[in-house]
Amino acid sequence: MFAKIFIKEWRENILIFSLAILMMAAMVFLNLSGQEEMTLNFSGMFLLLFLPFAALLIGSGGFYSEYKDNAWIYLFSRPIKKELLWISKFVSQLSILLVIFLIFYFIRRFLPGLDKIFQDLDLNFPDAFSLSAYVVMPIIAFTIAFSLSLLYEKQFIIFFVSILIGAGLLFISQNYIYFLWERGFLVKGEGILSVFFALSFVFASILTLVKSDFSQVSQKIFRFSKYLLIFLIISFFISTVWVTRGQIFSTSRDFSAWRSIKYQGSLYFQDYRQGILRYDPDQEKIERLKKESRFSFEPFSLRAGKIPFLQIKSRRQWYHDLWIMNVDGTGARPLVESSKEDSLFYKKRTRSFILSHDANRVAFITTHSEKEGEKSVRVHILWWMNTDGSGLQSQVLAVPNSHEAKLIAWPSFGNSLAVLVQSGPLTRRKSSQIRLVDLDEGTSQVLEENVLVPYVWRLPPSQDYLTFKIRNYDEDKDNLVLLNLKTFESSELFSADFLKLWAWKWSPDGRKIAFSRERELWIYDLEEKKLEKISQRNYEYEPGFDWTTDGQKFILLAPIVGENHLIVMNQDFQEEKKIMIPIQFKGAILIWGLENCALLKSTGRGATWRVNLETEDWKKVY
Amino acid sequence: MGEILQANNLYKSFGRKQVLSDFNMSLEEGKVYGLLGKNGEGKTTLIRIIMGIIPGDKGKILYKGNDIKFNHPFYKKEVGYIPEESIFFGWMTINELMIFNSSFYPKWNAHKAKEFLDRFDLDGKFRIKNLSRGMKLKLGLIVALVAEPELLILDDPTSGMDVPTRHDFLKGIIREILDEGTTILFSSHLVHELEGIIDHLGILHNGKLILEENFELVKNNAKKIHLTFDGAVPDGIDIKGMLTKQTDGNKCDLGVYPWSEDVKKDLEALHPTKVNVESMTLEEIFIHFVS
Amino acid sequence: MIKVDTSSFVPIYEQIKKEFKKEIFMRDLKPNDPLPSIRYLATELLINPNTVARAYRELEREGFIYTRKGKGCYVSDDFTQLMIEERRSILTNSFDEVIQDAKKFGLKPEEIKKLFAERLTVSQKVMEKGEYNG
Repeated sequence: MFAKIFIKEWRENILIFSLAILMMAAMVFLNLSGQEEMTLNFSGMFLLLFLPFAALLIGSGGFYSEYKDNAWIYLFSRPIKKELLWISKFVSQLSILLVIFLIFYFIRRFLPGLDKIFQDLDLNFPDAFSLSAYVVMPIIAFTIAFSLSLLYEKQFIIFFVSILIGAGLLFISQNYIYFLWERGFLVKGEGILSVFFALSFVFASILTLVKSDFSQVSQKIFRFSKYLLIFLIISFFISTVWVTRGQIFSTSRDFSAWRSIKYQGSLYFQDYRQGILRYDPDQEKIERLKKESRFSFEPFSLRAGKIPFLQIKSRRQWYHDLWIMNVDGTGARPLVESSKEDSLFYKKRTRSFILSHDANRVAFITTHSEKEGEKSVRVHILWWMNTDGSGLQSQVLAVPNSHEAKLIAWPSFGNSLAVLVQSGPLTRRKSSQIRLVDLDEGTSQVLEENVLVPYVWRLPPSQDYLTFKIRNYDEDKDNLVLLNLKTFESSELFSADFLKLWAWKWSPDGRKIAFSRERELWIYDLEEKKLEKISQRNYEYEPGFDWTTDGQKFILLAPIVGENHLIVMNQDFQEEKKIMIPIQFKGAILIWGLENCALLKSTGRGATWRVNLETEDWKKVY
Repeated sequence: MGEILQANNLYKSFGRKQVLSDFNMSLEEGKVYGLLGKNGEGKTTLIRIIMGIIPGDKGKILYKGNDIKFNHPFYKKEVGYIPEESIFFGWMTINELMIFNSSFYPKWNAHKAKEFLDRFDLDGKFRIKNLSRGMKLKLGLIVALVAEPELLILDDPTSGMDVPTRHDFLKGIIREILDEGTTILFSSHLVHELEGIIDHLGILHNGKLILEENFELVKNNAKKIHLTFDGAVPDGIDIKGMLTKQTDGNKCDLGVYPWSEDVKKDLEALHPTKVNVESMTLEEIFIHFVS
Repeated sequence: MIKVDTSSFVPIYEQIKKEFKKEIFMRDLKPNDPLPSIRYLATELLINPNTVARAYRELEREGFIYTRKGKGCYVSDDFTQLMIEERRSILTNSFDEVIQDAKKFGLKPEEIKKLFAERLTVSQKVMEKGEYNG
């Protein structure tokens, strides 16, 4: 039954198919005869114009043969369910399209000249020539046209209506996605909307076929519109949920573990999409602190049990409100509301923020544009205030054009802030400066130049020191520098070959720095100002080592790839034991030391594992 | 002999027009059922609903006692259908149509198909779009019968055909009855054709079956009464079973069904001078019922 | 080939019976001649085979025909008495019809008798002349 319908549909569309074959043959011929430019033009036209056109043509003729001479009376009186009939026709006609794609694919694979042409096209016009554009879009166009062809017998009208509707829906979905994004939602998987739209057409069409009298055109159109509307609304609803809350349904495994900070024995991860996740060592579970997607967190802004964050009201207008909450997610309240017109902060974009050592004060930088004669200039303002809302003060920062300013440290002593001023992404000559701004005096001084970002972010808990890399272009070396923010003393801890100095970590008491250089693990003691080599081999790029939260133990991932051990050392870096790692991690491994246990996670996707340093027991945590 | 097909409380309207209204019908197995009705009054609609081509608004159709629940298609494997116009896919040849059609019916008899084609003098290589109307009708018959249906439904397929074609067609139907004992539902407005072959008569009017009866019974009991009176015809004549009444001077013609002794008595009670009782042809029966 | 009028008030099976009886009487069908098959008759006359079957059944019951299994129906060879009765019955029906019509036309019984005698004389003369212009 289905086979016969399949043959029937192919037979009825044999003309279009032959045309496609002819065009592809022409393409091959042009290619083989060495006419590169013509082949390029022809192929581009084939993909971008002919294929969608063919899809629409086949689709809009979907039910044409049934309309012709009222053959539907014959077909619908056969012992076959109408749903099955619809699906059989759909699949058969779709297969014609797919076969064309398949032939095209094989031609492209086996004619190297042709392949190269398309690779060039892919590179230069990634959006136009991506798989989505030239396979998925025609299929969706076909689906819409086929669904509509049920309603009316004039094929060319269906053809044009499908184009209109397809374009209209595309327009609506793009704008809708933009609308969501603009409201602050982190949009993910927006292609799903098109798929749901196509499915709406399918369901509406099948339902219309089953429930209507085929000869009553207006009744069909009315019914179809009704069903379509319902399904489209459902699609919008589902896709909105998917797009805006999709990350809620994704497991905690999929978070990015790069930005992490320890606090009171717990480990906090700041994921761009998921907000703040916390590993609870008692429950041995990973929980999410804030489920919203309309927040923006600065890395490592957790201090003294409080976290400041931005609530995004509108991305386009850049309305961000600065809020603060406790580390357990409670007590969230706004500090600055920039969306209100009468607010000082109206139309000023908050770009970075930081808490003081005791979290009693918060500082942040806003930017906005002002006109200076003909030009418009960006103005950076540094603000600081108490976290109860009182005592707001500000100071304009002198930031050169196209540069950005970021707050990077608020030392525990005195009343000064470390600010990083760096050139923007579009400037040619990269430069960066570390400045110390004195909040009492209102002065600022430059402490360092040509700092390599973003490796400024390795801070001790007190934030009294900064560590960063400085690149020595003449000798092709990177230097690790320690900067004392109180005394302004900077010491070059050591240097390594270009790109071979990467990971370092502070001990919990802020007295030592562990870093890796060229497969060696070194420890620097701040008090004794001593450098000591600990181990010969190590992973190069990741901090495959960490202290436990009490500083009593030091854990280190085993040196050689393939020999998966965890080495546990005491605070004097003497090896106490080796623990076998029974899990195969994908890619490099991140490790954190907590109270008597360690957490391991691969930088790629994958689960987080907890190992008890005493019992050597491994457990997956979610 | 059971009921092979039943329509229970069927309703169907197109927009504001109520075509079928509380329609009930029952077909007995093995019988030839003639369905009469004025054009556009719902015969085709009813048949299309039975064949699952269009949905009914309310009500049920039972095939061999089972509710066919619109779109449940399996009963159609046992039903042959010849619509008003036998349309197929014009681009197919007759052979291709046979092959296409056979895939739907497990009981498709290819030999029988060949036999039919020979008998009707149709070449399998002809393209359907090139066939004359008469040939298409014959093809429609073949398509319906080769699947060895238990029920054959004809929706006035012979209207507009020339006499030889109609005769060939009817012969084919009659052969089918002879050989297979197929139940037949024959909707037609060519009354003469029906008259010779139906067992059972149904008349569809105003959305309902106003008559559903054994044909012989109907023929025996449907009468034309010609009354002559001395003087004017009395007003308000209303006899039991009266279908129509026409008065002209001192004469009055009545159509009556069913005729009985009681009716005769009622008529005599009107004191006419002359009473003339005549039987009706099917055509007259139809006319009288739908007036 | 017998003919039937489907729109006649006389049931078809009765018509068939009558026609065959006529043929038998007129010696067009002789004893032991086969009758056309039900199939043939139904398809030729375009009538319901059951109707034909009924006619044949009744003819058999009445003794005019007999069935040979697998071979069909044949004219009986012994129905002289039946014939006489049936003939009389058929003619009685015909006479009744004529009388009905005559009455409708308003002829009085005397006039009917007169007309009948007239026509009888005419037909005798015709038969003597050897011409039949029925």
